[in-house]
This record gives sequence, structure tokens and C-alpha cells, in this order.
Amino acid sequence: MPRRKEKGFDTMTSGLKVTGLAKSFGGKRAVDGIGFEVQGGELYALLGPNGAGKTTTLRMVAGLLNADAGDVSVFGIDARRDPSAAKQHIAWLPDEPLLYDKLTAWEYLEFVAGLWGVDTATTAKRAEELLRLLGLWENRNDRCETFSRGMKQKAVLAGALIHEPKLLMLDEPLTGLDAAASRLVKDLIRERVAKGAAVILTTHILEVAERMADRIGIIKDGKLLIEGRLDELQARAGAQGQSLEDVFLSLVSQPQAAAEVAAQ
Amino acid sequence: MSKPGSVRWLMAHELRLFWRRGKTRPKSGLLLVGLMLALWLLFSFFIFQRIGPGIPPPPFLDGPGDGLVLAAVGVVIAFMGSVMLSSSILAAVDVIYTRNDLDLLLSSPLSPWRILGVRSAAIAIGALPLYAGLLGPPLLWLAIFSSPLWLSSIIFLISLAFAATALALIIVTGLFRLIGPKNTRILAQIFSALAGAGVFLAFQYYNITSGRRGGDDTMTQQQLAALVESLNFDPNAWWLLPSRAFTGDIVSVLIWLVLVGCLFPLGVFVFSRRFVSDAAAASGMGQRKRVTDSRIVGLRGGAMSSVIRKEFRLLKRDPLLLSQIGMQLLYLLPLGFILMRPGGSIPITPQAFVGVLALLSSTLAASLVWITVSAEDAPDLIASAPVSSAMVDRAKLIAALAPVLALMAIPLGALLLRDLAAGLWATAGVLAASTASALIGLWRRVPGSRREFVRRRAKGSVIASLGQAFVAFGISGAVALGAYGLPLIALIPALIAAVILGVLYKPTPDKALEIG
Repeated sequence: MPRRKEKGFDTMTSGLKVTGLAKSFGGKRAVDGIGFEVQGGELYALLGPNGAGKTTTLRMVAGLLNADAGDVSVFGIDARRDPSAAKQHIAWLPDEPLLYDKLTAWEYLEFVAGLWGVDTATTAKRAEELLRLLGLWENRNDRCETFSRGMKQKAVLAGALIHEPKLLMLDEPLTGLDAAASRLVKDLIRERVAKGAAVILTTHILEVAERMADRIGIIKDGKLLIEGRLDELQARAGAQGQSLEDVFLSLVSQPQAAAEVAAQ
Repeated sequence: MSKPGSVRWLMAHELRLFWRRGKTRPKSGLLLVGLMLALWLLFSFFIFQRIGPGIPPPPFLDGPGDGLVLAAVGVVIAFMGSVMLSSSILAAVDVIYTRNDLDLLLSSPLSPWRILGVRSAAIAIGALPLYAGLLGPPLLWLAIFSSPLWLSSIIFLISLAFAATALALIIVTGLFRLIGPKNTRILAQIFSALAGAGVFLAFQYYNITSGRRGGDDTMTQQQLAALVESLNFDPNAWWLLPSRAFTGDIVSVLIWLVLVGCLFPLGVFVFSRRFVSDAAAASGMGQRKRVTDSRIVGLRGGAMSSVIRKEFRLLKRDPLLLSQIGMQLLYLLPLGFILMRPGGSIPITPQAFVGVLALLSSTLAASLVWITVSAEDAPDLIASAPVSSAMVDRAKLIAALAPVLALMAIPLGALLLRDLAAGLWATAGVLAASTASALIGLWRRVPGSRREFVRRRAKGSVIASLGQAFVAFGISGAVALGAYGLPLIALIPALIAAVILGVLYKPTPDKALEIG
């Protein structure tokens, strides 16, 4: 199993490359031939209405779901052929905080680090850094069941970052966070991007995508309608000066208009 | 400390969670368990110190006498195995449906095989403490006072848990393939109830049907000897292998261990191979399941009936509850066999059912009222609605009692046809017991969500449960005595029940005042 440990990876290599990804559940096509690419050092936002296939797509990339068809490459590793090697570089942060209520925050980080094979000394150092940064240091020995939703979210984020993933996938990362926590999380995400990680997030808070994302992809009914930088999207939607919300709503509410735009 | 990511490390994690599960368990609970264990250890010591030396040392391999012993051991094993299977099925379903932490585990670079193998082993190990506590002490003393070969029973029990888990994994995976995620959950719960009750029922059935032939139930020594002779169990029969392994026949132990050693990996293999897709299907289920209810009729009937309707709907959609009720009814079936049998030889008269029906209706009402009253998912919503809490409580009582009375109507009807007086006493008992039980549940409510009820599988406060039990015994005793023609003596248990009911009475606080 190739374990790549190089620190400063080339920012211009393709971090995540998805081609022709498809998945059906009982005859219904949840993801229908999606393809996109996220570079190292880039933040990509996946936007779409509920049930568009965002989470299903990310779950397939994370190796939690077998794709019916398509390819996933994570920093050059074929994730479908060698899932273990790909997972080594991935962190997956689902929208519902996945925490063990009965573990303390410290134990949780220790456990997650163990799963990714981080050695003990490094774990201790990073765990302390992350917990201090996220304001959980004082609570490190409390069981997670006593945490508020925001604290849980932060603890899970710390868990996702403890093995310094090259590909960070966040599903609705800011749900339920207060302003301060939300700022912290955004800063952390930006920092990872600056260090060359590929970050992909789904969000329904359009402003977040607007402000943070380098590129945005809009999906609906399991298909990628359109993708590009914000100004590109605005230009292609023929709505110069409009907010992303306007662009988004006009795209997802009028499929034929979206198809025309995409065809341009 | 084992290496992170290794099997031992993962198992340590599972066991740590297992140890910590439950609601921040107070130290006193642990102490109580320890104390009970110590007492059981001591108690069983005195028993086995006396009878231990008299028990012939295993293995039992000679002649039909030993064959019969092994068959009896086999019955015990079948019972334990079926209970283990029942709990493993539930645990396997749980792994598929509440798989949040498996998402984390499976997104790590560790091999899914290792993760699911450890999880499966944890299911098996999780079933063990109960048996260790109940059977450990006697088996230990048996090993000391009779023969150390009895120790093989402990090895056997541990491997039995693994065998049951493997079977459960295969069954659940099979159900998933055959009938899909939606039905698997419900069917698995019913199946687990059946697996638990199956052996018991089979024996009841056997008892009753054999009683039919026998005529006189008491057997003489010779008859017993003749029976043993006629059964003529060969102690070396293949189907007695588990019993031989339990009783320390080394060859059988080895064969058994090899069998389980093959079965368990097979179970994990079957389960894991399809797990990712199964789990995915289960996760999509929540969104796609649509309930079409043609009776959605908006504002019909006002607040009272809308509460009742909501409770009925939730009760109907609670598969765990339904399987629990099914279980209680299953245990009643053997009694039904007897009741339906004309002129049975066993001296059970219709009067015997009077008390039983009252008891049963009380336990049913207790669980239903617990769900409707205590396990309200949105208490604040209801409290904030412009309706009186007394009205809501009345609606909830009706919702809980109606299904009980509907269920009881069938046996009550049969009883009334068979024996009018007994039927009337039984009807009175059912009405009184279920109402009393429901009232106690109402007065002694413990707020908590429905989810919690499913998780901890317990109901309400200790006082309420004890009170419900005593009142139910009182009422059923009273109506039973009444049915047997002793109405004066019946007053005593009736009075006791009334007094307990009075003690438990607690007026429901008015929600409006509470908030204001």
C-alpha cells in the first residue's frame, strides 16, 4: 500500500478528479454521470437543491458507497482500484456530526488518528494544537455527549484534520455553528487550502460558496449543470452583477435555461 | 497498548464503548450488579458443594441414560442459542441502520474486512456478560466439585455466541437481499422475537399435545424408565454434538470449534461483501419512504381526536413496539391452545384465564401508555398548543387503551361464550387492570423521547413499574378469586390494589401554570 508522506505536494496536480460517476438506488438515478476536477490548493463548492446527489457523490469519493460507473482519482491514486491508499489522504466530514458520545474529545482524536495510522507523538501535538485552536482544550476530557451541537461539530472537524488530509470533503460544514465558530471553521478550511490541500464542500449557504470557493459547481438531479468561477457563472447565466443566489435559483428552477447556458 | 489500527486496538475501542454505553450509569448500579454476582456466587457455592460431588462427571457417552442427559443439555443449549440469535439479529440490524460510526471507520484506510470482522465479534462478545453472570458461577463450582471437564462448557458458550452472531449476520443479509431494507428491519425484529420465543413455544406445544395422549400426567418410576428406554437417545448421535462439547467430550469440543471457526468468518464474509451497498440502501430509505394515508382529512374532529389519531399513527409505525406486543401475545398462545381444546385432561378451567387476561392487559397497557404519555417527542409543541393538558392526557389514555381492549376482545369473547360468569369477571379484570396501569403511567410519567425508549428498551420509573405490577397482581388476583366463587376473599387483593393506586396518585401538573 503506497503511503505518500511528502509534505509540500505540488499544488497544481489534480487533487480530485471525478469522471462519469453514476449511482442508482432502486431504479432512480441519484448520480448521473458527474465529472469534475479539484486542484490541490483549490476550494470547490458543490451547490444544489436537497436531493440533488451532492452527498451521494461525496460518499462515493470517500469510498463509503460503491459507484455503478465512473472513475475517482485522488492525487493520482485510483480510488476505486486502491481505496485504502486513497482513503489515507481523504477526510470526510458528514453533515451530522459523527461522534462517539461516550468518548472524550481527546479520546476521540486519539482514536481517529489511530485509524489513519498517525503516530502517538504527532497525534498528541496535533490534537493539542487543534483543540486549542477550536476552543475545546478546556473540554478535552469531557465526554462528547455533554457538548453542544457547535462543539460537536468542532470536535469532528478536529478529527477530520488530525491526519492532515490532502483532500478534505465537507458536507454542509457550517450548519448549526454560531458566527464565531463559523469564522473559525472557515479560517481552518482556508488554511488547509493555502497549504495545498484540495477542499470540496457542499453547502446550502450560498454566500459561503460565493465568498470562499475558488470554483463552484451546481448540480441537480444527479447531473452537473454548470461549473466555473463565480464571475464565469454570472456571465454565463447572463446576469451580470447578480448574486450567486439569483444565478443559482435561475439555474435550478429552469432546467431548459440551464441546458442552454451549459451548451454555450 | 496495542498498535493503532490493529484488530486488538479496534476491539479495545469496541469494548470501551460497550462498557460505557447506557445513560451515564451511576456507580450504584455497578455496585448492585457486583453485589448480586457475589451473592449468586456464594449461593451457588453452597448448592454445588452439596450436590456437586453427586453429579456424575462428564463426558456422558454411555448408553441411552447418558443420551437423555445430553438431550436435556441440548434443550438448554437450544434455548440459549435461540436467545443469543435473537439478540444478535437485532444487533446486526442496528449495525446496518445506525451506522454513523461505521461511516467514520470505513472512510479510514483500514480494511473494511477488519472493521466489520471486529464489529461482528463485538456483537458476539456483547451477548456474553449476561450468560457469564448467570451461568458462570454454577459452572465454576461444578468444575471444582464435580469435574474440571465442565470448564469446556465455558468455551462452548463463548463459541456459541459467535455461532449465533454468524447465523444472525447471514439471516439479516439474506433478508436484505430478499425483501429490501424497508421490510428487513421489521421482519428481523419479528424474527428475533420468534427466535427467542420459538423454543419455549415448541415445548408448550409438545407439552399440551403429549398431555392429550397421556391422560394421567404423573408418571411412575417404571413409566419414566420405559420412556427413557423408548426414546433411546444415542449419546454419539451427530445432533448431540453441541451437548457433548458442552459436557467436555474433547473430540466434540474440537469439532465444534472447527465448525464455529468456519461459520463465523463465513458470516462476516457474507455480511461484509454486501455491507457497503446494503448500508447505502438503508440510508436512502428514510427519504424515499412515503406514507400515503388516505385518511388525511385536515381539521376534522378537533384537538382531542387529532391527538388520538397522531398517537395511533405513531404506535402503528413503531415496529419495535409491535414486535414486543407480538411477543407477549405469543407467550399467551399456549394458554389459548388449552382454552380451545374441548374437555381437556389438564385441570385448567376457564376461570384460570381470568387472572391471566387481566395481567396481560395490564402489561400491554403499561407499555402503550408509556409510549403515548412519557415518550412524547414534542412535549413543548403540545404544551404550547391552546388545549388543556387534561384533554391531551385523556386523548393519550384513550389511544393507549383502545388497542389493548381491541386485542383483549378476542379472548374475552371466547371466554364469555365458554363460561359467562368467568367471562364477566375477566372483562371486569381487563378493564380495571388496563385502566389502573394506564393511570399509573400517566401519574408517574418520565418525560423522554420515543427514540430513547427504543434505545434503552426500558420503561419509566421503578416506582411506576413496581406499582403497575402490584396493582395488576392485586386486580387479577381479585377477579380470579371472584371467578372461582370467592368474592369475599377477593376483596383483600382488590383493596390492596386500590390502596397502592391511591398512594401512587399524583395530580398532573397543569402545563399552563407551569409555564406562566
